[in-house]
Amino acid sequence: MSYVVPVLFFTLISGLAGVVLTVAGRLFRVEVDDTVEKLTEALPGINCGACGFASCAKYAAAIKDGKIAPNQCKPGGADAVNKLSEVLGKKIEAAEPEAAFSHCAGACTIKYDYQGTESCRASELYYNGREECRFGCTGLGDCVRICPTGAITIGKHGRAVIAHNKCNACGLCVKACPKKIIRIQKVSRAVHVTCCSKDSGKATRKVCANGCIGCKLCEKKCPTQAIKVRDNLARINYDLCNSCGECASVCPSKCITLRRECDILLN
Amino acid sequence: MILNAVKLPEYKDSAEKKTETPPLPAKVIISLSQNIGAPCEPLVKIGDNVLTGQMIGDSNALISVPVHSSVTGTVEDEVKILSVDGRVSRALVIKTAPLNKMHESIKPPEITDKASFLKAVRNSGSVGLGGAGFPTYVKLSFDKSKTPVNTLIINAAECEPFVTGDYREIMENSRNVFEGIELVMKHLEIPKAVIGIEKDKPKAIALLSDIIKEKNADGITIKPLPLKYPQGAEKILIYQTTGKTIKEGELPLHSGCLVLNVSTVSFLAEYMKTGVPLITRRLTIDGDIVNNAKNIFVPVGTPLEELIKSANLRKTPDRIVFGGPMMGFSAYDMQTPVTKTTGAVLFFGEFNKTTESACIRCGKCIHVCSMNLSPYELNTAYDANNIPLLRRLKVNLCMSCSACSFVCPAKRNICEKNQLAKQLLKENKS
Repeated sequence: MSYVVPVLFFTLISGLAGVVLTVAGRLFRVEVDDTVEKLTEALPGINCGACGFASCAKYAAAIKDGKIAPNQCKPGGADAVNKLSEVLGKKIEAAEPEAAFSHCAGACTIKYDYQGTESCRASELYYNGREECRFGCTGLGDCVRICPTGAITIGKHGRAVIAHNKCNACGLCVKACPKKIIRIQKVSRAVHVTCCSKDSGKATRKVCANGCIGCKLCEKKCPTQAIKVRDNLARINYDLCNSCGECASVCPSKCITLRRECDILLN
Repeated sequence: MILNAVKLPEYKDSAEKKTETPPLPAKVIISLSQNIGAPCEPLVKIGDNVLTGQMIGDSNALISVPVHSSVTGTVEDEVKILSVDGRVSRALVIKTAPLNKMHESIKPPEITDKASFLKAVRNSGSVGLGGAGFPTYVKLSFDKSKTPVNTLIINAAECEPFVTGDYREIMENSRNVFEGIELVMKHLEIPKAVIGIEKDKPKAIALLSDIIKEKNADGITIKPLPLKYPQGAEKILIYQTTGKTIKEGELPLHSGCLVLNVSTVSFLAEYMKTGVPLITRRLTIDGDIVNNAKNIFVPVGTPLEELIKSANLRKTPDRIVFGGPMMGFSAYDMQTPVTKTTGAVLFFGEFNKTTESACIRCGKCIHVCSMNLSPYELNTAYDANNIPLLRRLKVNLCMSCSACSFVCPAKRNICEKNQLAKQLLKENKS
């Protein structure tokens, strides 16, 4: 009967500990708000920074405090908005879908045989990159390597092509591109200028058949005065543009394109 | 004093040959931005006739020196040339006339005091001939009350393989070198001078020490240096000759040193005697497919296609390098002109592309970094986009000597990545 005492002893100890823990749990309870946790779960969790916050958790905290609208998550899109509205218990208006767009579709030649590191930024160290045009896409794929969804490929002409159905508009490629030719655009915007060259018309034509020469034909043809040439480059004011595509039809260099046509052309 | 550095092969075949003067080129392309600082505005128009030594470009900016025509001829065109760092600068194309005539402004300058000396240095168009191209008059016009300079260091260390221009300057114009040093010491009131020169140039050392003995110049000493790369870099040379170190963001002036290239001082002495501005340049023509390695005098602005004629190549070059093989740059355009800072043009035959492999953490790059950085750590910090770490590891001290890339057994482009890291820091200034 030597085991009776230990069994009794431990039963007593555990009983006592149970009582103490229950009392302590009630007395020192911390009010936890699990909304932030749930909101964070509803977000994609890739911490891209497109919303303006360093991470998804920080953005979720800001939503909870009401500092920012809950429709700013671009990679999440409609899916994230639905989940967030479930958590918050109110209807959220989804933001207009956006996607990255590469504003260079030129077929320019290569200045020199580049043998260095496979990176646009590294090539940029030598004579402004290996392409003849100092504004255009280098085609060495810094954007391809950084894209989390695999939406970017190097197309037939050696230029970056972005599939806007795969793009989640996180904006990492915009930061990675040393030539600053990728911009985030609303998907509904149909007409784009696919050139960034600010050189004179003569200099642009010398290196690229598809470069904007600043001839202002588009400016004259535009029914809503949405397109204007500044610094030898056509620029579209999307507040006025009605996506009629007149400018694209008159452009002699074919550097104004409708988005769908551009995708077909480059692939 | 222990210096982390690398021992490079020498290949100085052109060292004992007298400098030749090939016939004048048919045209010259004179860049209006040949120095660190502001580019010049052209003073002549297309169609104008210019004479040798005529000032064709000048600027009012603080850091800038005038550009002179190196030939007699007609201004044919104004073109834009792209320099390796991506700057687009204006350049004048001058068609050479058969008769070479000096401009009437060329006469020895009158030197009375420090101000007139500095003015003459500016008018000479002199820049640092070692390769960086910093305007000499800016370097010399320091404020003596703020930065008391007590040592003039003459850079005669030519540590890059192939290049022998500075050595030839000492061998051929040793009196000018001496007079140039005396001139700078006299006008800027610097009590002593040290000539830093490598041990493997005994003839040059003997020549210079003979002159110093003959003239009884006590202030000037010669410091023989070991054969190491990158010894010709300003900060390294100061450390090797005086033992002083320059902190990040400081200039050599702050530690009382003034470093001038041996060719620069020699040119200054020559200019004070003749008044001919900086219009010719001594170039080393060498490389593994060059039959007759030599130094030549060419007018500033000579395009590469003209240089090839005097190079006498065995076969078509695969790579043409302006400057030394370690820090020079490859040219892709046959119109690339010689500038005031070009010290050598090298022609290479086969150039195999190397492929990078993974870092094996051997630490060789750390052992050769003369700035005592850890290139391997810098690279991993850059890959991780870790800006605070890059700042703490002092990537800005990297002077792109590429000793790390040279010794890397995995053939990694370490130096290139350091440059990218420096750029990243510049973009993220806070």
